[in-house]
Amino acid sequence: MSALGEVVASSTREFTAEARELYGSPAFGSFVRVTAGEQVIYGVVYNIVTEGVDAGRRPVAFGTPWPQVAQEHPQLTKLLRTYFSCLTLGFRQGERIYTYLPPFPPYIHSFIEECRREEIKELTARPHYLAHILKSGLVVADQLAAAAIRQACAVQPDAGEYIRRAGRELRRLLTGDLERLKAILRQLE
Amino acid sequence: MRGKVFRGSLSTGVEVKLAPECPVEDVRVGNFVVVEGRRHRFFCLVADVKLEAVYPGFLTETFDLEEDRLAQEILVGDSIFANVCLQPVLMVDLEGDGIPRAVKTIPPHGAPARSATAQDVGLIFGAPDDKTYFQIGTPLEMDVPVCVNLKRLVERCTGVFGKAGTGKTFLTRVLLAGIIKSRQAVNLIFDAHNEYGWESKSEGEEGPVYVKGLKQLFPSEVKIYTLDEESSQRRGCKYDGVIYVGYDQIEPEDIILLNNLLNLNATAQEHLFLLQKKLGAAWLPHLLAAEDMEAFAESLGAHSGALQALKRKLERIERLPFIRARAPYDAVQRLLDDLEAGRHVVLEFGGTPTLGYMLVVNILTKRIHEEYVRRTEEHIALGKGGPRPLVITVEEAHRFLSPQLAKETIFGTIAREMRKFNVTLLLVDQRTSGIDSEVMSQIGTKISCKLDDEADVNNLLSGTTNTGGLKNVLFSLDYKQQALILGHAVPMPVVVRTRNYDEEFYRAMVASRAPGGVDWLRMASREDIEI
Repeated sequence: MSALGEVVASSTREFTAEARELYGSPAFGSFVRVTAGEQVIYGVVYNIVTEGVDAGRRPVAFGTPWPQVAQEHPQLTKLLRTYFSCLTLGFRQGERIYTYLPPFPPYIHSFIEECRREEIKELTARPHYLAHILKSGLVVADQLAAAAIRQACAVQPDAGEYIRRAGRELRRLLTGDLERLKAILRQLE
Repeated sequence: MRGKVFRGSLSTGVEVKLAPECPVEDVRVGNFVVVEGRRHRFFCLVADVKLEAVYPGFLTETFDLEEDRLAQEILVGDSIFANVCLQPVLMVDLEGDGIPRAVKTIPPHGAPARSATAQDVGLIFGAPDDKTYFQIGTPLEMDVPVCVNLKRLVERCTGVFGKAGTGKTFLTRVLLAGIIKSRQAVNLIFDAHNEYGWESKSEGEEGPVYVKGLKQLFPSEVKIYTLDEESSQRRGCKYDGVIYVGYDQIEPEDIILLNNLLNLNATAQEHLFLLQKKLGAAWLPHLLAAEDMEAFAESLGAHSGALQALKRKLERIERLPFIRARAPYDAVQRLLDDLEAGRHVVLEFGGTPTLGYMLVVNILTKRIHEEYVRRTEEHIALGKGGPRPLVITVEEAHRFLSPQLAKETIFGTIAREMRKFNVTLLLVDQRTSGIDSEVMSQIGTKISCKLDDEADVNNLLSGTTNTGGLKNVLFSLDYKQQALILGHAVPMPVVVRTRNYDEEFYRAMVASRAPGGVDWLRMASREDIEI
């Protein structure tokens, strides 16, 4: 499986990678993996940013839509970079997947890959990852939870039952905040 | 139903969260539920059903049918759920002897609850054997017999209550037939409305139907005596004798019992005793025959005006069809002989007014009571058991057991203490609030059809613990063929669909009782009656 990007910032709770190609990040809410020594760290993509390489120079408007503008100005693909940030959800040590934070974060320059189907299935089999997401303090936490559930149920044997189970977990985590719960669940219809 | 215990106490009952897949509408008040504890199995009654939510705000939330379908699916049944309030009544030690006993603890949190099975019902109420266990109906949601223990039923007083038209009479017929078939006691039935002895007309779903009387089911064991011969003949009743009451059998106490009907003041009541004291047993004919009231009053040292008023009121008694100067034979002795021989007696009142009904019931019961006390004392002296248990069925029971009268009439005494003398009452009434609460609390087995008056329900449940749940059960009964049974004859309160009093029932009663292959049922059918 080819790498989607390379870790450029790393901490216990999250890590950020530069996408291998401009606009080549994995989708919001998708599950990714990074190998770090003997452990494989799993995360979920929560933010995707494309910006200029030079922080001091802001891209200017050309009045031509993408990708036509890239053909006319091929240098742009070298001046812009796509970065994506991932929230750490768990890790694998040996044969077993643990759904809590790993002892060490990924190394810088590690390659990030898309999670394998079996890994997603195992990682999301019990909806404990939702607790990480909702308690992360991210502004997009609720949307991220919905996106992650959508990704997870694609690999679970009974998608309908999985959504209901995840919904019950959300209900527990949101302790009575029915409006928030309904907003998330509406994204799962 | 299925669910799990999530809250509870012995005093207020156990609450079960209904499993999301079980529709709340299938859970009915009065249903039978079993909770499996770790060491005990608890038998409970559904006392209440309510909607609850993990967070109270959820209850007032509405769900958009399009957008919130998933939210509704997830929340309703799980976070918003049906709370089934159970009243545990009996428990069985799973490691012990397996006998149901009164509940003394509650099941643990999370204990699974389920609807009772036929096996559970059988374990608690016993299997019908027509000797001790008699099928009175089936649970509402199952088709298995619920039995009453007739031996226990006749040990203490029993009440059959319910609003008019809820099936009291049918239920009483079923019970009486059960007692007769089981031979647990002999019956003396004061049949105010001519419904028990011989065939009577009843309202069926498709117009009036004729239902058989007890004599038609048990011709050799039931005797019918009438107080209104003409009425009995008109109805084609095959009666065994006519009862007359002589003036000499009427005592002042019997008249005082009729106070509500005769409207006697205190002076009149005192004059009754004065008359008896001066004139002896023949006080009533003397009073009614007195023409010169002034002279009559003077001879007694009484007030002529008061006597005149009393005479006017007592003239109503004179007009009763069964009143004679002297009774041609001792009716009470004849009844007692029948009862002694194990025959059941139905007293038909025909068109007798309430006044006559009350007078006769009181006079006869008083004598029978005296006789039973005497016989019991004799039996005790001889070291034998008491006389054959007697069940006296009284309709319109509130007329004898109202709070004003219960302490004075013979029925109050019987209700309170006569079980020691093997005499108990089977009271049939539609207004329990009209019956003295002390008497109500002494009733061993209460069988109640629909009651919807708060005062009636409260009085019915006096002397019963944990009444909150039972009240709901009573209010929720259907108008027909449903009854709540609680007390001495059943191990736990139970709501039953009462047994049909129909051809099938007749056959069950007559089965194995026809000596020499005689078809008693056919013999007793309407076409064969010749008067």
